[in-house]
Amino acid sequence: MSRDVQCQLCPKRCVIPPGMAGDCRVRMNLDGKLTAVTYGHPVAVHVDPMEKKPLFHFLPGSPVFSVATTGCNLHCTHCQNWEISQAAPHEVPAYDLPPDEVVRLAQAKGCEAIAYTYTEPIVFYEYTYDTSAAARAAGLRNVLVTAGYINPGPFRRLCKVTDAAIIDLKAMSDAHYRQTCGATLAPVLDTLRIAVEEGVWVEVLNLIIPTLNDDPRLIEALVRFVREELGPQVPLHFTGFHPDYQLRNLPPTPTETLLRARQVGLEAGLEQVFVGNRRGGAAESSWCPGCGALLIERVGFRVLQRRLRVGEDGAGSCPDCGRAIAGVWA
Amino acid sequence: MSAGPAGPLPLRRRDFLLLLLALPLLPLGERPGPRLRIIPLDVDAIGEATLAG
Repeated sequence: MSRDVQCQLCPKRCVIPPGMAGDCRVRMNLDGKLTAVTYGHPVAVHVDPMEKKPLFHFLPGSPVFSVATTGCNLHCTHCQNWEISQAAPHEVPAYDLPPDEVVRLAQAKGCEAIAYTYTEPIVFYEYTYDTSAAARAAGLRNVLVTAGYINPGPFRRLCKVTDAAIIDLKAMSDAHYRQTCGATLAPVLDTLRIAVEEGVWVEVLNLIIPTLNDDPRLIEALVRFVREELGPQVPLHFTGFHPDYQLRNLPPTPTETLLRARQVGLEAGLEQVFVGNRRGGAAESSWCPGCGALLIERVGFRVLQRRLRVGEDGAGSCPDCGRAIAGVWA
Repeated sequence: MSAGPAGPLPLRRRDFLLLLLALPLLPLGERPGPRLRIIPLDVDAIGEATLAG
C-alpha cells in the first residue's frame, strides 16, 4: 500500500512520498502524516507599520506584529524575500514561538493586530490559523499578506479568523503566473472573491514589472476585475519592481508607469488607488472620492495627517462632504 | 588467458563488517523531519523589518 499523502491545501495538490516535502518545502509526509514542519517556528518576527503590508484602510498608522516561517507555494523569479520564502526549513535559523507566545508578545509590543506575512502564510496554514484563533480570543485582529494560492475550503475556514488581507494579484494573465511564479491565475481570483464574500477587509496589490506585466491591457483587465467583482471601494496598490533574486536583468518600474496605472484605476471608478515602493506624492494618500478632500496623508509607510472622521460606530467619513469612506478604522 | 576473476567478487569478511557498520546510515525506514536550527529570540531587539511585506 502506498504511504504517499496528498496535500489538499493549495491548488498544486502535491502527492508527497514518505520523508519528502511538497512544492512549498514546508509541508512534509512524516510517518504517513502530512505535517507543517515550521509550526511554531517563525524565522522573522518584527513590528511594522500597517502601511508596510501595505494596508492603507485598515487601522491606519498602527503597529502590527509580523511573523513568517520559511516556505512559499509560489516561486516568483522576482521575489523580494527569497532568502526565506524559497528556503527549506532547516536552512534558516528559527525561533521557538508557539501561538500563545506570539499573541503575548504582540500585546507586550502594543500591537492591535498580528500579520502573517513576508513569505506565504498559506503554507504554514495551521500556525496561522491557531495563532489567529488565539489572537481573536485575546481581542487582537489578524492580517494575511498573501498571494492567495489556496483551495476554497481551507481558505473559507481561515477567513473566519481573519480580519484583513492584502492579496497579491500578479497579473490578469495565466501565462504570467505560470512563467514567472509557478502558479495559475484562476485560484487567486477565487480567493479574492471569497475573501470579500466572507467579510474580510481586502486590499489588492499589483507589482508592475517592466515588460512582464506592464501591458496597459493587463492593467485595464485587473482594474475591471477589482471594480466589477470585488467592488469599487476595494483599495488597489500599484507597486514598483526592483531587480532581485533571479530577475536582475530588468530595470526598476518607472514611477510614471505606476502613476499611469493609478490613473486608469481612478478613471474606471475605483475609489482608492495607490502607488507604492516609490515616492508617489499624492498617490500615496487617501482622498475623498466624492469631493476630493484629503483624508489620510502618507509618505512611505508613515501617516503624516489624518483628517478622516471616525464615528462612534467605527464608520469613516469625509470631514468635508460627509461621504462614507470604506475601511476598518477602529 | 585472463588473470581476473570470472564471476562476482566473493564477499570478504571485511566488506561484510563494513556493511554492518553502515546499516544504520541507510535510509531504510521512515525519515525524520528536518532538524530545525532553533535560536533564542531577543524580544527587546524586535523592530521594523527590512523584509518586504
